[in-house]
Amino acid sequence: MRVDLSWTVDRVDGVWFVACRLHNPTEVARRVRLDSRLDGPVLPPRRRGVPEAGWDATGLTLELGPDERRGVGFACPLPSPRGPTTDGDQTPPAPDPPVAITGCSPVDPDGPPSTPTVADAVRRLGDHRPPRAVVTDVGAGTDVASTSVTSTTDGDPSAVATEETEDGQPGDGDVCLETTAAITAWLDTVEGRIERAERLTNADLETATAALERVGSAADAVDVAHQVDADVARLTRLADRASSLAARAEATDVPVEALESIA
Amino acid sequence: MILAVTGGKGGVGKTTLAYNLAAALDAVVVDADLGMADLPTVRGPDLHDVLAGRAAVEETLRPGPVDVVPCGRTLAGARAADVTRLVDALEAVERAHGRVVVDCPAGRRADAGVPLAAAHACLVVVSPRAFALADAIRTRELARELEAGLVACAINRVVEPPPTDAIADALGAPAAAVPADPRVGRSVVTERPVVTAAPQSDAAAAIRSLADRVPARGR
Repeated sequence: MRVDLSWTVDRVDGVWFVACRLHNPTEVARRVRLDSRLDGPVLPPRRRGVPEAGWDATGLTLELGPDERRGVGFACPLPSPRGPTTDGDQTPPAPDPPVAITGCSPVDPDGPPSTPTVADAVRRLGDHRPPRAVVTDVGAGTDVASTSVTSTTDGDPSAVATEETEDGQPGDGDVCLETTAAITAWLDTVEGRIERAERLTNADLETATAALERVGSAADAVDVAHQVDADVARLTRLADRASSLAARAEATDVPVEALESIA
Repeated sequence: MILAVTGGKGGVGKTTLAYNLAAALDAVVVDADLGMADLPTVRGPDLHDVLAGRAAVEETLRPGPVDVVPCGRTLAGARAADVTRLVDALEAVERAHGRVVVDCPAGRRADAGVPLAAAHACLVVVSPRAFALADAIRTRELARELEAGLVACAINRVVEPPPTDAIADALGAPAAAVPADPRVGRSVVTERPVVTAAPQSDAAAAIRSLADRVPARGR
């Protein structure tokens, strides 16, 4: 073989970790095929769930430039011991060598260039999935209403609440179910606190004791009182804003028909 | 033939353009905006289910003036979607229906890249505003890397004569201006594509001229 190969095998918790160093000492680029000789599936390095370029079920194909050195590695689960294990470790040792170079040829510079694949795109680009934290587990039947997003603009899901149109204006009347759900959830929380405070307001001894038991200790009741004070301020501001917005919304009159006729 | 309708920035009108272009091409439009679907949906399986391996893409096809493969609107669905399955789904629709227009998400994440890698050609939608051009150029670069040939760029919602030549030079593809027309904006919700609802309009003419640039066959 015209390519130098050295390796180490580590065993951690039932998995072999194979690290290989490859060196192409020649003056030409070479395409090298490296196959695993371990008795088990090859678990290649992955990015966003997609194996790194060149890896397949049994090994790796890679190109090494002139005098290029490269380190590669993979994992392989140990075969499960057959039969009952009575006298200690039955796991066979890793074969030596654990990998073999099964192909090595000069790279044809005039050969067809490799075409980009979907796996390339996924490897290189960022993960599209919304973070786990935003996907709340609220049980079957209600997840559609509380996690769905409706918007007429394209973009990053995380930007839903702040998405702006081209004019730099906030989204024009887009119904954002997620925001609505968040507001409803907040109001429900506030309502729960107010109910607890109501039970403690002007209560007789028996009712107050029962309510206090539900709230926790007297210190928790003081907490509830402080939070309700803060809620009063927030709710008043919200009510002012909501009523002034409603008044302004009522006062608008967009001449849709006229605008369409001149468009 | 799989055509990706893309554009770097959100809100430039990719969805409406994809829908109307699909009408002009007699194609199926696939809503591949996994995190923020825009095309109308109904109850039943959608693209999220296809990408999660729960449904075949044929089950999701919703016939209409333009046949639509809708996408779910839940974040949970977007999270469960394996975007690498999109290629098989798009190819299945292509085999059954011939032409496919993919409404791509904005940005440079995997869900924007995979439709480009799967598509035979792409069309970049750009806003006439200068700041939107930088995003379009980045998207154009991504399409070049993923070998989705750029057939044209659509300067969308044009009110004043846009710098068409400058945009065409910057993107390296013929540019066509699509005039702002409320009928285009409404076409998706009302399911009345402008090429059939208002065939004499300037917007319909612009969309037809864009459709003419789309090759009949893929690779």
